[in-house]
Amino acid sequence: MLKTPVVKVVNLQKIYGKRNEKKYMALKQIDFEMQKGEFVGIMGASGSGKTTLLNMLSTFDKPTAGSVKIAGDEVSSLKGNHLADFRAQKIGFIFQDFNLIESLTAAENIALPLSLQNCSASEIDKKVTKVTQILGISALLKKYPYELSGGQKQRVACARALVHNPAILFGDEPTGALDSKSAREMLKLLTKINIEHATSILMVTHDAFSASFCNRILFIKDGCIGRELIKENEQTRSAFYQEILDVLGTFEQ
Amino acid sequence: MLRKLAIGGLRNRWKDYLILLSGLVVSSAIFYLFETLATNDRYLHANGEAVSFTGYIFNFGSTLLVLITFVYLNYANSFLLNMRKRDYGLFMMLGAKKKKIGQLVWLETILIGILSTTMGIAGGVLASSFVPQLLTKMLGITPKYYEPFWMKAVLWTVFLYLALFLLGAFVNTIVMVRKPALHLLKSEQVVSKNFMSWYIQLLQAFMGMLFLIAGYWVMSEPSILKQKTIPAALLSLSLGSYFLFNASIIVIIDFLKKTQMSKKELNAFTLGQLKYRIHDYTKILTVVSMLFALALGAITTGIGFRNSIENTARAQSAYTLGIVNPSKKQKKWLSEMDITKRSTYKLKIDESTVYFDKNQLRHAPFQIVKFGSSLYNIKYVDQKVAALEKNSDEIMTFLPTANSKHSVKIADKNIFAGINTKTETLFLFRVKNITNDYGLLQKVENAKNKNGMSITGQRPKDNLVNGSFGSFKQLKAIYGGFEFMGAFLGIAFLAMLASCLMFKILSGAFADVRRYQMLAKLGVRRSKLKNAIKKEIAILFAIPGVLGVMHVLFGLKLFEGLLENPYYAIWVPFTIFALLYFGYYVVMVLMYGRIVLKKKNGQSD
Repeated sequence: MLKTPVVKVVNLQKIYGKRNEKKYMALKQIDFEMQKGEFVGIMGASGSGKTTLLNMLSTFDKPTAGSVKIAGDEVSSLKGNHLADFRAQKIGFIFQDFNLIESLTAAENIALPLSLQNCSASEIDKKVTKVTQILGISALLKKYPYELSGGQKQRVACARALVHNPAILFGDEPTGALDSKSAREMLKLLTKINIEHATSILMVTHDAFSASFCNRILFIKDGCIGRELIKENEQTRSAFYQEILDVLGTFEQ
Repeated sequence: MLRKLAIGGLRNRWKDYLILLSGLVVSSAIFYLFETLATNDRYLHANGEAVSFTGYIFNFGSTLLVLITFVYLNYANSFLLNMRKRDYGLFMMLGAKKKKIGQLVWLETILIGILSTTMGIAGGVLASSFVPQLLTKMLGITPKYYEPFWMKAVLWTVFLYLALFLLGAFVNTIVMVRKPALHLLKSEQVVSKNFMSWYIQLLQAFMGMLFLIAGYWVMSEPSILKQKTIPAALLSLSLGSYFLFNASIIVIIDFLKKTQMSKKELNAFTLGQLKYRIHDYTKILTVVSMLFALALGAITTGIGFRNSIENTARAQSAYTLGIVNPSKKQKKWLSEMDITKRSTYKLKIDESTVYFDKNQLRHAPFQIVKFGSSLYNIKYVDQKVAALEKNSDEIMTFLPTANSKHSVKIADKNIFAGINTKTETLFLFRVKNITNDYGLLQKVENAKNKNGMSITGQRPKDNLVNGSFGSFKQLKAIYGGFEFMGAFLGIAFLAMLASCLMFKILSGAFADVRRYQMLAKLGVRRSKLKNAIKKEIAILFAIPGVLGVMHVLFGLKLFEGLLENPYYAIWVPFTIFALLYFGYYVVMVLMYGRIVLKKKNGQSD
């Protein structure tokens, strides 16, 4: 049986610069697929186009050409309310700088996507409790973001991204602003929800250690996918880490 | 190099500077406008001699405006400071000397001060030449001796604003130079949360209520504090509003947050925004509620004087005017008026007597004013023929002065017909509203009747007035100045209020851009974002509005000595004001939305 891939990208191209301005081709030609339950990392140097790619996938930006399908829906043509609803229902996103709303408590931040879908209050409470238990942040619910550490904030952000059961979780350098201990915890948590709850995760990172938690890694260089690395079943994380470092060593030359 | 950087920063943030400048320009323009009235002794004397404390009112208003301006500039200054903190922090990181930074900050503040004050005065002169015209058109009053360009006002404005900007420049320099560079750089990320403990909140709520009650009591018993009533009321009402806002709003928000409602759509977000804001907003909301009360109060009193003129005049006579033998032209104008009562009497005049037809007077009796409990409670009643025969003074006022020594005789039909002189007609009428038909009435009065005599021409100057229209004109001359001042002050305070609130809300908008972008990324529909903005701003507008209305309702009692009934037809100024206030609200929502929901290049949302 053929399953619908969670992400399907065909011939994706992005050119920046308006008419009369100097054009800059951020993405030349990207094709890839991602199946449900995968944990994919996208790596590349600064300016390689990895953030541009993520913006296309997560509907924050529109491609110049090509198609992006998330859970079978063509997203590059979505507009207005459809686009907003699509984001609210199908996508979860964690940012490098958390993007929590400072004026809301952790619980209110997490509940936001559900409030937007007009869930009943009891249902909201139930779902928030469930996701916070999974992420181990039940004790933080009444606190405001400024009372939380970076690691705690990112967990709250993660809970907010997962509370509505999105088809896919996108991460933009989710450990970028964390210390090494918090970063490791965060990555373990992502791995756990990937394995135990079959959540599809796609994250952009430039850090080999973070990437080593993924099952598959796409290396981007000058707007194209230059290499792909798949973690073998029996391969340990540290071995995979070594492999990534090797690829980076040769790939970036 | 540093200077280049500073100017570069200025260029990048020109939009923010535009808001700052426009706010300051509006403020100084209004101050100028106010001073053109307050410092023009000749004008005040000519328009306010009927009441002795006009000068006092204006001196007091000036002091008040200075205080408000001080608070206002304080906000403007902190807006400027917040805007530039990061840039100056960056310069320090790059190794700029503290002394140099101090110089730059000082220079920038003073430059903005000079620029905005100059533009403000120019705008003020422009506005002040336009305002009297508008008022003349709308209210039918011409302010005497009003000078749009008034040197004293220019000097006062320059003096006050430069002094305040100098002060601001010193404060800014000290703040910038004292704080470590890192603190300046990161200042935008610091979120202050400053919630009070419950007993301090309770104490504040209690004090707030106490001050409000004291303020309202002082205003309801003006005989106790006499001239000090207004300052005392303003002080205690300001304190009362401040404490009440500070203590109660957070409690209410917390309560709302616990309800089911807060989990619907963006309500939680809106409440959260308000909770974080309100602490920061209490001062401005207090100022705004006071300004709101002053503006609404001024407009209400202005319109009160207008009503008072109308009503007092209408109580002077049952008829607006009386015309003997109206000409065709006069009849044409009469047909354009809104006339509620008209009577035509035949009369015959010989050397010593004016004869009326009894039959006619029975059919359409002559009316006189019957007083009730007040000017607003009068009735026009029919006068019996017998009574008219005894006392004919009233009807005589409508006849030419040449007949004033004549006696009145009311003759039976046959006798009347038998008198052998020319039959004349006396046309008496009452319009619904003198103010509305003022222009036509003036024309009728000045025009000549069939006998070639005008109403004004037929009587000696300032002698007996013909009908309520004459009284109306006399009253207008006395109280029209107050009507003008009320409307003028109302507009000035309203404009000040709007720019205060606008300034504060917009300066918060820059911090909100990120939050709204975040919400958009979370998949909030644009329409819902817009609704959230509408709600949030509506609440910020409504809070001072409600309190302001309360202040006015109590404050109007103060005018009981001046106006017959200050609460008469109060819905008119309130509706006008509500419409203006709503207009500001709409503009505010649009401006805020434009900043917060900016469309980014190439981005789809």
